[in-house]
Amino acid sequence: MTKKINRRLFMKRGIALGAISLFGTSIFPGFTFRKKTIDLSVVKGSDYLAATRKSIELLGGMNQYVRSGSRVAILANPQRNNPGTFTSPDVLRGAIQLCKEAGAEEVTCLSLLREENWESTGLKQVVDEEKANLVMVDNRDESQFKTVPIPKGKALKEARIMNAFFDYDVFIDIPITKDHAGNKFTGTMKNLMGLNFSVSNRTFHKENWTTDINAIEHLDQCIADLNTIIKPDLCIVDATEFITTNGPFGPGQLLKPQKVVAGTDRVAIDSYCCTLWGLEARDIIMINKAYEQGLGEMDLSKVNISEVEM
Amino acid sequence: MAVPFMKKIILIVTAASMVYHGGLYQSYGQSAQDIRSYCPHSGEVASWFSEDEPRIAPGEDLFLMINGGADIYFEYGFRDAAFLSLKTKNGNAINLEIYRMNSPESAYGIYTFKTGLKGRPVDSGNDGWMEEYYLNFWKSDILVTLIGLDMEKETLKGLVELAAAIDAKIYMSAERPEVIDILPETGLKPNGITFMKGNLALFNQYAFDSRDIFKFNVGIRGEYDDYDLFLLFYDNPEESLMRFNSATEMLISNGLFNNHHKESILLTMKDKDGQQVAIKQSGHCIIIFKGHPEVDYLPVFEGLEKQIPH
Repeated sequence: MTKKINRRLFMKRGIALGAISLFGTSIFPGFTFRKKTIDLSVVKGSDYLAATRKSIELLGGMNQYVRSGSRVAILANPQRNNPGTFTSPDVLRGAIQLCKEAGAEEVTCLSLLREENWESTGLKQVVDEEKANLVMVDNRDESQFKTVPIPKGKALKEARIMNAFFDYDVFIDIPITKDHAGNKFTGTMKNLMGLNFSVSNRTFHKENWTTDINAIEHLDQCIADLNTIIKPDLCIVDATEFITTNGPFGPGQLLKPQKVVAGTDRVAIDSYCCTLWGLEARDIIMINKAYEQGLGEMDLSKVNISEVEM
Repeated sequence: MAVPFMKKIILIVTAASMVYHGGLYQSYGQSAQDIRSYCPHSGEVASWFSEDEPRIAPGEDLFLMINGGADIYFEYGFRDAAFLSLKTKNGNAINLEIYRMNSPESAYGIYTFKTGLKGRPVDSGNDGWMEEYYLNFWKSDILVTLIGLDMEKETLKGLVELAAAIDAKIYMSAERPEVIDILPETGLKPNGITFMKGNLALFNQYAFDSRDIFKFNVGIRGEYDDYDLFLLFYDNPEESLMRFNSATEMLISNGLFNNHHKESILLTMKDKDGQQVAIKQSGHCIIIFKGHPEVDYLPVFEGLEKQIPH
């Protein structure tokens, strides 16, 4: 199903994009009235649905991010049904349930990947059972993407974001954290490539289609640049079971920390998640680039983390 | 130019033989038949069946199938791939991935990249290697990866049986690249060799720098108990010396290492984990030792240099 663009929201987002061009601020600045006591919640437990719900409770509840009548867009990762490569269905289920309980008018999962991926990973079943929507965007159809300038971009000067994204007023990023052969790590920030036109994404990996001497750094810089224009209102990271080698597609060595990590500071969340398999934030170029661009905090000693074991 | 009758006969018989076994390319250790023909048919292996036809990804379509995971395949040299899901009536499931690379060397390389130390040998193709829930082998220019979606006994048994069936469909074979014989056998961990064809593979082994500072043709890594050895190969000693000089300049200034000491064609330094790193130019090679600070790298280098082409 492909949704029609809501003209009112599209105009609203258009104004937001104008603001980006003028002031360099991001889409989805979030609600300003939030009271934040902790930056990052981490919940460990074998019941991933319960862990997801608890992680949001620790942040102060979903109603801090989703208001009654909100239209919520979710970006999960249905990469492939190889173990440890896709967002856990229970984590997605928890997020959808909480959005609905907070009064969301609509909860929609956006995807550039095929419906088959959603079905084989069990994520489609969750979408159906929780009465959410699934919007599949044809990643070969250029007309379904809108060019968005990146004023603060160092390597990427414009993105091509799926039109459907502009239909919603709350955005929740729900990646799985895991290894990635391209830059060692994927989490909240890299997941946003799932909103961008595939042809554009491929230039992230290979600048001008050639192997550049700085290709790895180029990929990381492009991801950081993309994140300067899209700021999720909330990130919920599946760190329950994931691969630490041969990412992002696998198969690879599985690690099962059984954790769900939530918060709004993408740099802090990714900095935390990479430590789960022995990396440090300073090892990940993307995290360093994002920190340098003021997108968040990479020094975890400065981050207020609440960890709970269920 | 007239061709003698007997020579004509020999040429015709040879060509017919090559076509019968799958095509002209096979005489060079490359396969030319439809990649789908390697996939087992439903019921060919005990109770395993598929409801779908294999999905194929020729050339850059691999990006559409596995997104950023495709980069490493292209670095090694990729031609096409087939993907098929198989299952049993009991609900066990296996994903089959068959990658045809540009050469047997490329297939061996991506095999070594994808496999780890935690596994056991199985009798499939070349170097059949079973890890926790997946099995890889290479043969000729083909890499076969079978992934169990659960770890039940029937699934793990199915991995081995399906591997044997696919192995039997690949008629050509090839030897490992001779260059790996340079690595000392003593202390080499089982499956401890990684064959590399570019910086992305090297970066995933050890981050000397995100930039392609070595620009090697091919490289190998050997994993030993207390250290790792890297050998990077060039066309001639002049090129290896030039790359040694430029790379070591970058290593001294990139901020990732300390305690640098450079003397002629040898650089020693320590990484952030306190590991000793020694880099030496020798003949066509740059040789690198990374290991425990108390291990004497000099005898290791001396042994290696006797094997290296000068």
